[in-house]
Amino acid sequence: MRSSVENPWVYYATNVTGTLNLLDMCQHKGIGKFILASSSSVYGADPPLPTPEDADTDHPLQPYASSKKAAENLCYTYHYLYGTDVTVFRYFTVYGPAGRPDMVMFRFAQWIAKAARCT
Amino acid sequence: MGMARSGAVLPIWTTSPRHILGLKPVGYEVINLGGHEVIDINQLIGMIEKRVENAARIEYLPRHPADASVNFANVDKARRLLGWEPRVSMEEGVSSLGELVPGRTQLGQPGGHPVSVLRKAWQTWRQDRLLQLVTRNSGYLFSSNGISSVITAVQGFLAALLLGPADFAVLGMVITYASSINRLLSFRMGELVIKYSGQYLALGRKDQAAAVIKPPGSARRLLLCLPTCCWC
Repeated sequence: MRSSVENPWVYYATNVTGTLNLLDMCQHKGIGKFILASSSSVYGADPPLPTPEDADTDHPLQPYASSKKAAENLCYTYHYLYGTDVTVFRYFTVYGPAGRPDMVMFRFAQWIAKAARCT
Repeated sequence: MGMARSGAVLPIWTTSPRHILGLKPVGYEVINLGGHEVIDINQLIGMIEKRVENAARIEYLPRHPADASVNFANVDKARRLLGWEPRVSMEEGVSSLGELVPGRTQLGQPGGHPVSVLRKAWQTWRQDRLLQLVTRNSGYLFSSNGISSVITAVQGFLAALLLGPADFAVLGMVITYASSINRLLSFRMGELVIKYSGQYLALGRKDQAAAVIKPPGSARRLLLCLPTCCWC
């Protein structure tokens, strides 16, 4: 998320243009179901706890979060225009099989294992 | 990662859920997926310390403005619409971290020993099909070139032995003459032959393939013979 502050373009290319490409392809190929992996970061600074889906998402803190919100909006537009069936999942700090090594759980685990500093 | 959010802050963590539930037709719905446990960052570090049997060195920094501080999902909607339920506890999730991504995260192993580095490189090579193909094809190329240069050397040696110095010199002149004429008049017709005759052979048209090979062949022979005749 922090790296999206340094390079927002790559996050927008992947999350927004990428989602748009996929939605457009689904529409052309007649694929009826679209699942978007969104993020709990769309809830911004001070969400109510535990956060419900209808909490405010208009104040994202990073380009990453705003790109995810843009992707959600695109999904709604395609649902409205073409009837694509969309489920948007907002994941809360994912970890697990096939997780990215730069995600927090693996980074913590590796830092501690290698006795590096956790900052 | 800002660890300044220790103590008072309550992040919640999730294991990747089963996506099959997500295939259910819903129209358009936004659904939270998150764990059922709320722990703070210090508890999490404690769990990982236990898992990797190492003590963490923690440095507290001021919170980055782009770091979200709190993370706790209301998953009622996922329960209601999809029947989803978080099943993996934090303790279980952390303890399976090492096994989940074999090769990517090897917890508790101080890597970097030269032998293990070599073994790792060998394993990478074995898993990389493209690299193997490149190695194999370069092997073919080098071995055919090697064999042909050995044969040429043997041929030259035998010719020198059989002809004697005077005749061998004449042979050398002939070969030099032929190769310089060849260089002068070569229009890379081999490439033409490879391109088009391969195409016809693939279609099973042997006559057409032969027709592609014959004219460049004759042209070449003619070009080599003509100056030779003139010279003689």
